Amino acid sequence: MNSLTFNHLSTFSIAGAEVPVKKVEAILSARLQLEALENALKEADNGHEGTSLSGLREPDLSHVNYLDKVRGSIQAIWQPLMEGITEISPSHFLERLNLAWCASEKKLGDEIQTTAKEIFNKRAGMKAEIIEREAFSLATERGIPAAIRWLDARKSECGETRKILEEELQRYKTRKKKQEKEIESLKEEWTKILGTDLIGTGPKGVARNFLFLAAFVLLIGVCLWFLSIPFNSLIGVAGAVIVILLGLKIAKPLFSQLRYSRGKKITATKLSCAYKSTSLFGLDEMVKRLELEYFGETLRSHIIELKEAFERKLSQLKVKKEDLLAYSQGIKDSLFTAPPTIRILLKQETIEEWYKQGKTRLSIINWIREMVSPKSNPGWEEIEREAHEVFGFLKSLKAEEVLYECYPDKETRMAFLQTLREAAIGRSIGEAFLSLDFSETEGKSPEVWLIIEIADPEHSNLVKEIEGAWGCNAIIGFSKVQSSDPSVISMTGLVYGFNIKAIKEWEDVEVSFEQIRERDGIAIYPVLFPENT
Amino acid sequence: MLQNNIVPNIPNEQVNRQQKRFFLIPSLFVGVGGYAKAVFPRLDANFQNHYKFRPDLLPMAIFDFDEANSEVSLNGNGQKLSIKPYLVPLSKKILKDVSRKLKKNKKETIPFLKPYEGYVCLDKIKYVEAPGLNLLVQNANLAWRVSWQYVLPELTARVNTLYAVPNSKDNPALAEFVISNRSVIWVVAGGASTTGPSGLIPILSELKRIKPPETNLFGLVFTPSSYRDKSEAHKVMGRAIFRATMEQLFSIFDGKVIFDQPYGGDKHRISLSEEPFDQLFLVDGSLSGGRTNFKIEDLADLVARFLFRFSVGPLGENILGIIGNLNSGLRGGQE
Repeated sequence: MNSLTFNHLSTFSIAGAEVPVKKVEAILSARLQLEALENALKEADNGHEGTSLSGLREPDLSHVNYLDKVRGSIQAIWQPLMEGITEISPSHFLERLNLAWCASEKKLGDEIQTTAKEIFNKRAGMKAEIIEREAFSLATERGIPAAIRWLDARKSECGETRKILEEELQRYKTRKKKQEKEIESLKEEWTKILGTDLIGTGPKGVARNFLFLAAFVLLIGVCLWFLSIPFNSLIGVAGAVIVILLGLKIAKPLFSQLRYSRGKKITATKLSCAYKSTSLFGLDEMVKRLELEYFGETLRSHIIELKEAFERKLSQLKVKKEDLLAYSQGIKDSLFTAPPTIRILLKQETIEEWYKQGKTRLSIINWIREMVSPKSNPGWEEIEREAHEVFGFLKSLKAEEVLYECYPDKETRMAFLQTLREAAIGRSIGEAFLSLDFSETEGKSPEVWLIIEIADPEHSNLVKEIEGAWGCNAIIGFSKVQSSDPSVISMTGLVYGFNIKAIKEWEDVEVSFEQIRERDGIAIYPVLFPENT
Repeated sequence: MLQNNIVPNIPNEQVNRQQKRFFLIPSLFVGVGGYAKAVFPRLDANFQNHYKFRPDLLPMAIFDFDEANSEVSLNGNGQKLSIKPYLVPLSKKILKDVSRKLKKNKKETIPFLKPYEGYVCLDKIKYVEAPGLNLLVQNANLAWRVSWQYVLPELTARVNTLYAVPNSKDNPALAEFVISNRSVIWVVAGGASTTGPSGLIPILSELKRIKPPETNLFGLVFTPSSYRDKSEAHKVMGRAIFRATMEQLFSIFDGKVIFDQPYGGDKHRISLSEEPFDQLFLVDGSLSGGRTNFKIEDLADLVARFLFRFSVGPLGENILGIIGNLNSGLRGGQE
């Protein structure tokens, strides 16, 4: 083989110092996301009870207004009857009561009940929204576990309220039964009253008798005057007593009549009141049942649904946290990993400064709100993008600046750069990633170039220092170029112009070649030429 | 986002990088054999991290008779980058059938071998049931010739992407790139194995023939010293293969022999009357004269880093400027 220097035979080497900006950005952005996740997942202390169910405002009072309207309309059915009791014929009184009862029952028919139920359901839905907002606010400020605990307490509160309402409903039932019994007894009494026969003189007879008594008193008076008997004599007094007794006897039917009408009126009033109360009990019982259903089932199921949504969200966020931790750890493990001739420029204090700097650019509260929302999934891609943007300032970081921070002393700095130089062009100049046997180069050094890549080479202080230290060298060509990545300073060594036989241990190559050629002949050659086969 | 090397696939986020212009020297990377499988995924990872994808003007291809995959982690985040999108596996099955017939002296029953008479030592063909070409040089010689019908279209398609450079301004996908008017083809191969050395000469020659005249053609070969983990027998054979390959390569370079050979039957010949490369880079994985020897993964990392830095910044143009003057005297008329 040709033993002359061959300019088209080359080798190279590459060394450098770099700030692993992309990895640091990934780690810091993951850390920021983890901070938001920690806030969402934190187990806050149990001191804060949160607003009770009764403390939360009611969404509206339409159910109350509605029920008052229905109650008013039922009362309107009974009111005329109550006011005109005396005008109703006793024999028709019960019939009138039953008519009014049917009317009020009809009032409390399916339509009213359906409408009332819808209003209660709507109320439950709106209350659930209020509860959801309250829970969301709690989750944002104190973590999802706090919101779950609060919802648990509200669920229990629904249960307790339900028990109270059940007891009240039971009392209603008891009172209604009692009322019904009372109605029955009043009806009996009424019937009894109606059956009482007022035998004797009626009002006309009583008036007629009083006329006769008045005539008799006049006659007695004339007789006493005619006979000149004084009124205060024995005969006069006896006569007066007789008149009084006759008057009482005559008036007795009248008193009986009065006594009879008053009793009837009282019984009638009691009966109509009992009917009216029982009718209103029906309405109140319906309302109580709706309240029971509202607290015991509808609202409670809303709360349970919301709690389960938060629990699912909690699980999702825990999984996300684990994924982020694993991702972050994977990058951290390789943060200082680099090929042998590449040095990583990084200090832990600097990373912390960068984190603080990035954190000031974004409020993570919006992320927390998104993360804890029970009904929607967070836009993780958008959050990740924002997290990276926050640390986007790292993209313009110059390795030269960090190098000066890591090696503030010029001597140590140049010593460090010297190691990179040796890696690039060899401690013995010309040995890049290929060891050479200089005894085979006929005393001639290969051509060696050292190329520095750095951000802004024209104005770089580091380049000035390097040029000052190594620039004037007749053996090594030197050039500086703009780096495509400001976080990297690289030194590339280019060596060319040596003989293939200058490769170290070439003699072993020749020995092996001869050995195999002896065995295989021309078959050792990867390409054969017909003239040689 | 992993990138195949044929179809442009520009992620939406690129349109947000209005302020930044990326630099690029259009470069084709052709790998031959196992060492390229160590280098290329690392190179691909460097491009993906830098540009967020690998542009079409940086196509890759690895030719190997071993289908084994190779992958590296992208950024240490668990995402893997594989060579599968650009691996061109070549079959050596034909060697099994040819070997069987040759053993029975039935060469006349294999008419397709006729064009290769004189170019292949057929009596050295023997088949081994193991991945790769197993240091059987004439197996490799024949396998490349037979497989060339699959190799040439792949090479041609990728070389044609370098022709797109003049039209890059019309391509919206490349709007954010500053594209050099220089271009480079790198052929990366192990020098002391089988697939690498045996494929190096025909691939370099074919590429020299089909590439645009202004495109530089560089070989990057791993010397026998970089095969530190191999057995002694492998090292001996590897050194011999390397020596033989270099001898032939330089003979062609010096014009002592003309490379005019059948590859792909009697339908195609690689004919080259000029230098098969512009520059040949050798690496042996040592540092400072052997004071430090790299593990293959570290060496692959550093080689990938060099190729990456060459392609994405002014470093490559600077180096081309330095060695470009060396090409002025070439028979190929490189100026």
